[in-house]
Parts: sequence; C-alpha cells; structure tokens
Amino acid sequence: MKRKRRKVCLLTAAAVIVTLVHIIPLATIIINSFRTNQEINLSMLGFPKGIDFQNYLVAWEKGGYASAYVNSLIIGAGTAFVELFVIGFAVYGIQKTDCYFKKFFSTYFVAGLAIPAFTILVPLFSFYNQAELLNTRVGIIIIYVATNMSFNYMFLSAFFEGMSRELDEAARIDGATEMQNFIYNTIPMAKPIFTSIILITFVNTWNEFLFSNTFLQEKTMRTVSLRFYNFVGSTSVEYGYVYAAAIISILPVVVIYMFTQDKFIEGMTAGSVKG
Amino acid sequence: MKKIKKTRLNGTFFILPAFIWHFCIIVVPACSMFYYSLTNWNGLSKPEFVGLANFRRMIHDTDFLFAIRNNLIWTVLFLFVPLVLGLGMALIFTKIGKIQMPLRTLCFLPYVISAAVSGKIFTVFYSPYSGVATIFDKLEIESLSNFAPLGDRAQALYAAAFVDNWHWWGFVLVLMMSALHQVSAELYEAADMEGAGFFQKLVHVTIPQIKPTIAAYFIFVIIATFTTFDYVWIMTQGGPAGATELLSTRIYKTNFLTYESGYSSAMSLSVCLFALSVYLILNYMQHRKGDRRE
Repeated sequence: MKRKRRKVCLLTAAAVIVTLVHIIPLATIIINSFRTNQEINLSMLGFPKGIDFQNYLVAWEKGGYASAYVNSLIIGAGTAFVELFVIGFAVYGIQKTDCYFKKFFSTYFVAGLAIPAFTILVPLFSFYNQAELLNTRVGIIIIYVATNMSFNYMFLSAFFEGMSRELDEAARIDGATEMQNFIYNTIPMAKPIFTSIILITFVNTWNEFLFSNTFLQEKTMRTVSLRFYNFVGSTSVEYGYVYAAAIISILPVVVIYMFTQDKFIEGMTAGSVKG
Repeated sequence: MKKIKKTRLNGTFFILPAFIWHFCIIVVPACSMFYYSLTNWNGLSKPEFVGLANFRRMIHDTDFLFAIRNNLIWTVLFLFVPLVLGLGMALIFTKIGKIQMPLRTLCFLPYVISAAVSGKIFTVFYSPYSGVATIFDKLEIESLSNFAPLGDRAQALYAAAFVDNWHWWGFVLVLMMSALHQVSAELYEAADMEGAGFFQKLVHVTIPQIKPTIAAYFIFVIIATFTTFDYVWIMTQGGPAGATELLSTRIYKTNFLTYESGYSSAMSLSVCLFALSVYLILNYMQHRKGDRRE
C-alpha cells in the first residue's frame, strides 16, 4: 500500500512538472505584458516592478483593437447564431421528422468534414472579388457558417439521437406543426448543447486565420487575431506592447474557456473519438 | 395519405437552408477546381483551356517536390510526437487523483489560443534579439547564444512544428484520457492477477482497447497535415529560402503572389484528392477490420 502511494506521488509530481513547463510560454506573456519595453530589452525573463496597465493602453490604441474587437464580435456572434439556426433546423429535420433522402443528407453533412478548406479558397476568392464581398463582414460570415457546418452537424446530431421521441409524437397528435414542435419542445431540451455550439463556433471564428487573412485584407475590417499578426510585424523593439497585445487578443476566448471548460472540452473533442 | 406526404415535405424543408448553403459555398467551388486545374486562369480573366499542362508542370516542379518532402516530414512528426506525448501523459493523468482536472485544463489551454498569436509570440521567443537566445547570452552559454532556429535552414521546419505541437498535444491528451476512461477496470484487475507489468498491460490491454481512437487519430492527422498552413505561414511564410515550404504555402503563393490560379488549382486538387483517397482507404480498412472482429 505504501509503495502504491509513493508511486502516485511520483506520478503527480511528473504531471505537475510537465504542465508547468507546458505553460511557461503563457506565463512569460502574462508577466512581460506588465514590464516596460526597456526592462524586457535588458532581460527577457524577470519580474515586473508593479502591476501597470500602461502597455495595455498603448497596445489597444496602436493595434487598433477597438475596431478589431467590434469586427470579431460581430463576425463571431453573427456566425454562431446563424449557424445555430440553420444547423438546428437541419438536424431536427434529419433526426426527428420523416424527411425525404434522410440517409443522403446525413451522409452528406458528415462527408463535408473531409473536404479541406484549401479546395474552396481559390474559386471562392475569385467569386467574392466579382461579387464585391471581399472585405465585408457578411461575406466572411457566409463562409464561416458553411465551414463550421459539418462539425456542428455531428456534434448536435449525436445529442438529438439520444433525445426521447415521445414528446414529439404527443405534440403531433395534438396537432402541432413541425415548427411549433421545434420551438416549444426541442429548443428547451437542447438549450445546453445549443449554448456549447454557440461558444465553440464563436471561439473558432475568433481564432480562424486562413480565410480571414485572405478575405479581410482591408485594415478596418481585420479581426483581433489578424490585428495581432500585423501588430508584431509593425513594431520592432516595443516588446512590452507586443506581449500586452497578445493578452488583449486571447483574453475573451480564454475567459470563455475557463468558465465553461467541461462543456468546452467535451464539445471540442466530440465526434473525434468516434472517428 | 396526403397528410403524411405533407409532413415528409415539411421535414425536408427544415434541412434545405443548411444543405443549399453548404452546397453553394463548399461543394460548388470544390468541384469548379476540376475545371480550373485544366486552364491557365490567372484568377481574374477568362480561363483558357490548356489540357493537362498544369499537371505535367507539377511533376517537374522542384519547388513542389521539395514541398512534398517537407510535408512528409511534418506528417510523420505529427503521427507520432503528439500521440506519444498525449497518450503518455494521459496514462499518468488517469492514475493521479483530483489534481488531474486543473492540470488537464492548463494542458488544453494553448488549443484555444489563435494560431496567429501563438505563432507570432513564438517568433519573438525564437528571435536572436528578443528571445531565448538573449537568456543564453546572459548566462554566457556560447553555443546557444546564437539560437535562431527560424533563420536556420536545417532547424526552421522543426521549430515551426514544435509550436504547432505545443498548441495541439493538449487536445490529444484529452482525447486519450476520455478513451482510457472507457477501458473497463476489470481488464486491468485480471491483468494484475496474472502478474502483468506496466508494459505488458500497455501492449496487451490498453492499446488494443483504445485502438479505434488511435486509428481515428492517424486518419485525422494525415488529412490535417497535408493541408496544414497556419503556423508555417505565420512564422516563416515558407522561408528561409524555401526551407519550410509546405504544399499549402506553395499553393497559396502560386495563387496570391504570382497569380497562377490555374496551376494553383491543379496542385490543390491533387493534394486534396490524395488526402481524400487516403482517408477513404484507411476508413474502409478500419471498418472492415471492425466487422471481422464481430
């Protein structure tokens, strides 16, 4: 018994050490965001003299984060809610009604997962160019809703499969339309999973790089992550601002993650285990 | 009878918005690649049909072939490094007490941080003027005071892969932890009774039990790494002197820097078809195996 306890102690120590090493880069970002440019230039590692938000104020101004936050919030929230509507309807239709081509639609959405983003980039760019959708928030939302669809379909579909059908039958016998059944029966039951979908889709769009970097090239339209990408290139020695800007760029998603971690991790890894 | 038909139609209407949306934005552009890959299109003008010229050019394009080599290195790295790290740590995490939950949260954290931020921050860390090299310089460790992996042709690819792995292995950890939780404890008890050691249990109990997860992991890595883009583009844009050029960055540059959209389409199509066929073959093999066991 004693030997087993010692083993657990050793394993715990190993796990703690690996985790600490793993988050050194993040700790460095946080600590350095409170140090002045001179302090960082003298030594990359060190402790701040105090908690001073000067770097944050400068980085917020210089990086144009006010407009970037507006862009990211509109794009993230817009994508998340539109996504929820269209995919919520689709999964309801496939899982809960006797629709036509049930098998086809279900396979179609799952297979969408295997189409790499690179196949659509070039033709879509040319089309957006002609349709004057480049550098518009609506344009990028249209893309994001489509690219997030397959993942959310699998995630939501797994949940709907486990829901009881009795309520639906009862509602139909009482003469409810499918739309009424969806609004009054399904939505209240699926609320937690709908929240997960909104959060995960929001975080995905906040972090997305390939499409946003290609389709939002105008400065005023850039999202938070893109702003940071440009910001680092534009300053050379003002590392205090760079570290503060990094924190500004990741704070919303880290806060969302920290407060909803179980839901979040479960959602992010859903479907992957099943293959 | 009429009523049944009506409800079936109603159900179909629920699906149509998502289907049409996805079809127009994903499937139509993806299929148009088949046509564009046979033209000398520059992205703007009217494409001109050139037959298989793009594909012939591809076979002799040394930049493209070098990108394939880099991509293969990248794929092999990601097939094993995150798996060994993630599975190894998952084995430890599932044996320790409640502390595993906060540790798991911290290990997963980099996964929710955008590639633009982690990529650029690591560029700062890798820089000889602002990064780890300055620390070695202070400590007077001569051999490492010039540490600038992104500027070194031999190291740059691995340096970028290191960051992508840092961001990703926490995800693998969580995946493996949830797979390990589903292995029944009785199997381990039986193995203990037989006097099996750690490695025997790993090889004969754990790995066979979580095989579906590992197989899914391999399939996912192969698909994902063949079109991986973010970290390399953010950190090196394929440099120095093409040392980190991947298929994706090559395709991207051909389209957006030199405007050879036809050729870019041909490369993109080949890569995607290759990835898709690997996916289908592996998927088929996995399912056939599963059937046989039952």
